[in-house]
Amino acid sequence: MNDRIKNAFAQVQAGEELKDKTREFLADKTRGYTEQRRFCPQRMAFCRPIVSAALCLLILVFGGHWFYFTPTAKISIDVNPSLELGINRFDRVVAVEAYNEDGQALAASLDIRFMGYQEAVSRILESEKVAALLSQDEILTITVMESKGVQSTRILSDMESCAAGHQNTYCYSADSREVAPAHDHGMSCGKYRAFLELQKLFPDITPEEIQDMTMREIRDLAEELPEEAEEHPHHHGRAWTGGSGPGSPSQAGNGKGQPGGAGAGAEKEKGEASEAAAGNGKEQPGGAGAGAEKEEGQASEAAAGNGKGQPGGAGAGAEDGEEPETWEGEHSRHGHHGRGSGNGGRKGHGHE
Amino acid sequence: MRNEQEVNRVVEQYSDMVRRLCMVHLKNHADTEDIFQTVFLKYVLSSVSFENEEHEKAWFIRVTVNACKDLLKSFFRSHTVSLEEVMEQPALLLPDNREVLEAVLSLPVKYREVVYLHYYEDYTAPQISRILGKNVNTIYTLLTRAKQMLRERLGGEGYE
Repeated sequence: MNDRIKNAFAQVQAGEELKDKTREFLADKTRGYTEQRRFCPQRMAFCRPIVSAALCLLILVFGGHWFYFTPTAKISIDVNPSLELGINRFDRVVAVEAYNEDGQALAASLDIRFMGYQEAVSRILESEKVAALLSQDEILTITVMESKGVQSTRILSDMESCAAGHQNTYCYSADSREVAPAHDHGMSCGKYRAFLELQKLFPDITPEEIQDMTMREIRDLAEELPEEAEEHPHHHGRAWTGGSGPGSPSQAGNGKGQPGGAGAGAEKEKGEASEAAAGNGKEQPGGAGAGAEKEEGQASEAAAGNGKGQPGGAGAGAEDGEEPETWEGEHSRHGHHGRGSGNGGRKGHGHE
Repeated sequence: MRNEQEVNRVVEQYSDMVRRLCMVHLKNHADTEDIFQTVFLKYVLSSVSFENEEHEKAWFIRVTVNACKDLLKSFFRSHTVSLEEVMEQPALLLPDNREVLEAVLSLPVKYREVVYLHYYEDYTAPQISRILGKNVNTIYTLLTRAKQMLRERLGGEGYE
């Protein structure tokens, strides 16, 4: 067999044509055998798939990151600690931002990233600090930034039911276009919304003043003003869901912008809407009085210091006896404490 | 880089060998041209200094085998091959040679390599293992099996 194989192969030869072609090729490639280093094309071909694979990976990583981490909705939680939760399209919390020191402390104490938003909000509400604040009669507002879409509607209704289950918790919705101006002023959207409402009552109020106020304070401020609600039919805030009272004073204004509403809300339980519609303007001394009728035990309305010179407010407040002192201290911007006088006819209503 | 003179020499000296190796590995003639160009270009551009002719020859074998394998890897190929595909003028072959070549080509590639190198080039298994970079036991095994298979296909007596 050896020989057979040998003979067989022996007959296989490279033809002259093949050799000539090869020689030609070589001469051409080397340009007549001059010294030239040719870059091996194989190396390039090797690199190309690696480079494109790396590029794909980068795109995937960044795209995925952006996809998951871009917040599509925001929930702003304000008591005094101001927090904003960024919610991604999968209903997970991907961003937690604090807008004041208390907020930072609160955010640091909780670990709510990547949770579903409902769980995150419950955690916040049940956390020690917040629970303590709420039981001290502070108000917590949950503001959902609204935008077109199923998600924000869903979040809103979830937050409303959540707020309904807790004391002193209120839920609002705000326009997502307010996000940018809110951040420009260094406050969370919830507080900014409150600020806007308050601004309707006090046009010259500034964001800086609001920044340091708790939601409770802001609302009280707003509620003290309203008077002559008959002339100024109170407009309800947007989605107000009062958490405390049974018949949720739904139309009871936002606590900031429509103080008349607050009064109205309070009296709804009693069935007397008239006084409640205490005017919303600035010079409505009766507002505080109306507020006192709320029955929710928030003596704060009676508190003086509407801030813009309504002696009546102080008067009503004086009748309650307890809190006015403190409130005065904090809110006496204009120093009109006018205790016990100046309230005129409204005073009588202050006690019921 | 080598000069023209050297190139002409090696082309003359090793063309046939390269051709046979191509036949053993490849499926058609067009690829042979490719391999020729690749192998000899590599020679032209290489700066290996050969200790002796044996060294040079072994270098050529290795380069050719690798080039063939690379070509085979680069796209899907069928596994069967006929003489018509690998030779320009198979009709010129003597019948016996034709039969033998066809039998060899019917073997899997790795067997064909060692068959050629052992039976035609007269390399021993250790030498083949050095050239191809394979374990010497592997080469022995391949040779044994190849011999067996060829015997089956070619039939006959009096073979080693």
